Amino acid sequence: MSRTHDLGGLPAGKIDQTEHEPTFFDKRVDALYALLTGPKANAFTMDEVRRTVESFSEADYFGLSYYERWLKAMSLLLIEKGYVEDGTFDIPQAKS
Amino acid sequence: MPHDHPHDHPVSRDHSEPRPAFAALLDQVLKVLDDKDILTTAQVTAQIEDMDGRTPTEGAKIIARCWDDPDYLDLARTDLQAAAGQVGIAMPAYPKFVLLDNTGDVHHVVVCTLCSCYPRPILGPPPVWYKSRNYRARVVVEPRDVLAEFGTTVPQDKKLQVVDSTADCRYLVLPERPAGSDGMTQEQLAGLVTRDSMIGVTRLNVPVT
Amino acid sequence: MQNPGCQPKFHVGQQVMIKDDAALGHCRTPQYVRGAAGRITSSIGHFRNPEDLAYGGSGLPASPLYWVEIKLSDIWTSYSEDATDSLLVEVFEHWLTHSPTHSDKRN
Repeated sequence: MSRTHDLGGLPAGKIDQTEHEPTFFDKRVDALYALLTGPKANAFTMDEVRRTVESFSEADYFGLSYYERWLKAMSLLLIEKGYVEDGTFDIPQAKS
Repeated sequence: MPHDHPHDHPVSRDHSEPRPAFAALLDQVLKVLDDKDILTTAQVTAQIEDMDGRTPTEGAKIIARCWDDPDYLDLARTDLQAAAGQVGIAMPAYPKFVLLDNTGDVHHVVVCTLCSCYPRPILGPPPVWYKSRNYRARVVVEPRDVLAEFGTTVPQDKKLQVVDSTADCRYLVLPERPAGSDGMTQEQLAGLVTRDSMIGVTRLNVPVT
Repeated sequence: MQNPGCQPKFHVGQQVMIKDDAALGHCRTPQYVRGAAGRITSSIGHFRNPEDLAYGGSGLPASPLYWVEIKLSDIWTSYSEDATDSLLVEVFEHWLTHSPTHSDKRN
């Protein structure tokens, strides 16, 4: 398993403390995550989303914004779990 | 350092609007979920409104009451879900919420090195820095240096405990009540409490007027 | 989540070691604590296993989860800040083993 996400102790620099109000995009993705992993829709688990994000290449893990990552993972899971057919979504691919 | 990690990482995109391809993907996903009756637009809107109401101001009410009411403090220590409910915060049954007392002897600071676990129902979404690679990588290995970047000095004789939110608990730090806050009302006390003090990267002071 | 059929194997105050296994898939035991020795400070309860939940499983039976406190100087030999500074981490029972005499320090 890749450990792209498993960051504790890796060399790293100064922390950017710039504040950022969530955009409408951020809020909608956040809501999707809460609802799709929630008891009502129960489409997939938080751990399935994490596992999908953890399978991303470094280019995707660090190149996408936080909510872009979540959205990409949830789109892939909706296909994997059979809620929608493959090809339904135009999922952006990372440049290699 | 313990692990090799030679790659440079691009600057985080978390401070910007999504790229058009992702904005389009979101529209596609929302439409398909609505068409298939998995999620309606109304549910998404209601969820956004619910989350908009969850902010550090809400968490500050818990802290102020803990400082002011010993029975409530006991409850918050044993059942933070119930204590949050008593100040009007609707709480999920899962995960488990835990209060970490910062005292004269120990200072707690919270991180999620694996993703971004955070007490969202109490504080709302985490700040960008909490989710950043650099915070997650560094705070478990050089916590005093990281706190110094936030302007916080923990005395050498005080124990610093880093809490890594790895599984099923979400943590709220109870900051030390600042000196000079005697006699304040709970509303005034809540006004002193900052988001960062409830994560543990800062301590609180009564502003000099 | 309560599961009286499955009693926790470890008790509060016990010295334990976090297994230094390679994860075959998703797991919630970070790399940097694997192989470290620590002390159980609390038994948190039973929770569904994330290593099964991540692949569509039920995560059942629920598994005991513990708080393990580890001195930061026992994780990082180069740790030069206060010697009492520590890490508190949630670890599932199947990642824990009884502590050997010496901890496996990293540098």
